[in-house]
Amino acid sequence: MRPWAVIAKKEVREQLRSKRTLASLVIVPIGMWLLVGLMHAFMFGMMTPESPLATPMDMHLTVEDQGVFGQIAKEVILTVAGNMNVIVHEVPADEGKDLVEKGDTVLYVLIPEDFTERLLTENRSRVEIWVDMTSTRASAVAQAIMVALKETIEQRRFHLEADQKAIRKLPLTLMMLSLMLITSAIWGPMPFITTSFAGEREKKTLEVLLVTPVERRSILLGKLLAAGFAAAIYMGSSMVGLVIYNSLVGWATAGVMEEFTSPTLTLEQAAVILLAAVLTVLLSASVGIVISCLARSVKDAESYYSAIFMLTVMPLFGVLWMRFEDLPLALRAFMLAVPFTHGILIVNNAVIYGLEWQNMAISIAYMLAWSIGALVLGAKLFEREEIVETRRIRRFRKPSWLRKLFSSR
Amino acid sequence: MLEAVVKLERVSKHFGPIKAVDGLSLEIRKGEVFGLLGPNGAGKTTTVRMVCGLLKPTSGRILVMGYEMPREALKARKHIGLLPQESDVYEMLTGRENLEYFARLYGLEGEELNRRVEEVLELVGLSKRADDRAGEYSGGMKRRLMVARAIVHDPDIVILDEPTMGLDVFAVRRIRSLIKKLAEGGRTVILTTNDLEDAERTCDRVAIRDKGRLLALGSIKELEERFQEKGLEEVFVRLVEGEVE
Repeated sequence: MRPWAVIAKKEVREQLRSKRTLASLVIVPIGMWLLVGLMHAFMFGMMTPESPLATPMDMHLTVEDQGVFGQIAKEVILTVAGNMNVIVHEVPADEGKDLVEKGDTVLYVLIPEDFTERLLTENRSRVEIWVDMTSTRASAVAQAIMVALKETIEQRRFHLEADQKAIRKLPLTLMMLSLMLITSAIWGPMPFITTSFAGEREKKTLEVLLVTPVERRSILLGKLLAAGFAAAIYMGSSMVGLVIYNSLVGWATAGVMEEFTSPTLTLEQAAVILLAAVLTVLLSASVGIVISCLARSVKDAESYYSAIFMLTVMPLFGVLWMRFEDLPLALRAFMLAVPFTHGILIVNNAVIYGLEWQNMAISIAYMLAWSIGALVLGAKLFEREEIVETRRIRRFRKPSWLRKLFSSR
Repeated sequence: MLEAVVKLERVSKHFGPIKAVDGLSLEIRKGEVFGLLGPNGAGKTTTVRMVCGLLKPTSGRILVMGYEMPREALKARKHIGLLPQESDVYEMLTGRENLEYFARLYGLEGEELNRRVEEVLELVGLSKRADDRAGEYSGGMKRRLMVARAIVHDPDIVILDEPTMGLDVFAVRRIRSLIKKLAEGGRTVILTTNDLEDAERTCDRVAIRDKGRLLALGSIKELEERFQEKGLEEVFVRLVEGEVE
């Protein structure tokens, strides 16, 4: 065999025998694309009337006009809604506007009393549409209704205007802020935590530390606090980066796009965001401790950490432009089970949907429970002999086909 | 009879089917330099880890300064200083900061801490480079810093696991001289080594082990007489190769 082939064979053999390879080369890409694919399938599926994934959505409609065109417009809206799996609730105008004000609807259409009369006298008329811009689905349905209404009315040589207003704006910067903040908080402690346990173990300084008369939980606490400090710096830098990003895009769009205006937060909102960040750092560091205690080397720890990050955080990018409530129940349940999702939900609650304390309390409790669980597990793992002793007692044998696959011959 | 500071009674440690330590009984006396000798895989490091309370014996009993290990490890560890095999230093910290960190973990503070750090820096000959980053030290200097780290809290027992491994002849000589100085200060030194010259030059008594079992125990002179061999190396080879029953 040629030398390059010998080297290549040895490298491949080493990679195949590493569990890290399985995690970083196989599971992560497949899992990540699967999850992002699911997100986008739902996201685009909801915009496509024919899609089996278009989940039912409620909208509200007021038709004040009793004239012929008012009734035609109503028929058009009901047809579009029917095609897009949207349930239409007819309400009086007062009730509709009340729903809009409270943010209890994602789409409200009002056909005014003088709709037909204006078409006949002025040759043009208008409908009023209120859309929750944070809901991709509502935006898509509103768009479809507008297109269908315009087509129908303009076929009759009239002109139709849509007065579209936002129930909630799509605060691009704020949504970016929440995502950046939480991903920073997840990623921030990683280099520190992996080197502080797996790294010390790899360099054999952990053994000296463990021989000091210091309780292991004190060692854990000290490292946890330092990880928090590292994460705080990372988050701070990320926020500076966001301001730069915001300024650049704001400058380029000449202040016309409202989405890119700088976020103005109340003190209460800022406190909630800070709380979410702290909880996420705590959670990330706690999970990191477990990984670091289980990993045999820094490389292993980093691979496992990256795998968890990719598989838990990447799907969050999928919901960056859409309302969490628009997702189907099964996907929502999966995402809610992932504790890192709750950091984003808390921030979004604070900056976009108003402070819904009950929801936030559940998210906070869930993240805390995970953090405490991971810390307890980390502390248990840290107490094990395996933390200094690399020889392990094999409790089970690999099946023969697996042994063959990884055998040296 | 001198007081035993470390006592092992029929201690065994198994990792699955591997018997790393098999029914080991011995006493290490106050103020002596005791050598744990044996080829690779003899269970030296496992024994050291059990003495430090990092591993729990599968069976048997270990007492360190009268404290049972690992149950009373926190109390016993105040009396132990360890230089593990293949250990390293915190390279981003200076030599002094490395020592101060461990001194604080052992409860030293203020003036006492400063005095003690200066003393050990002087002892290991690193005073002039104390404020350089440890990452800039040579292999021998790092090893000396590790010895300093092991004794910064003035322990009664200093355990040095293969302290001269991989060092050049000058560094080895400095480490050997350090071991002698430690013993002169009244400390008990436990030295695990493959290097029989280390043992010959520094140890008062040695235990020769192989595959977890104790093959012989005594001073080098006693072993030479018992096995009628000249020099520790000859005794060691005969014992480990199974020529002596």
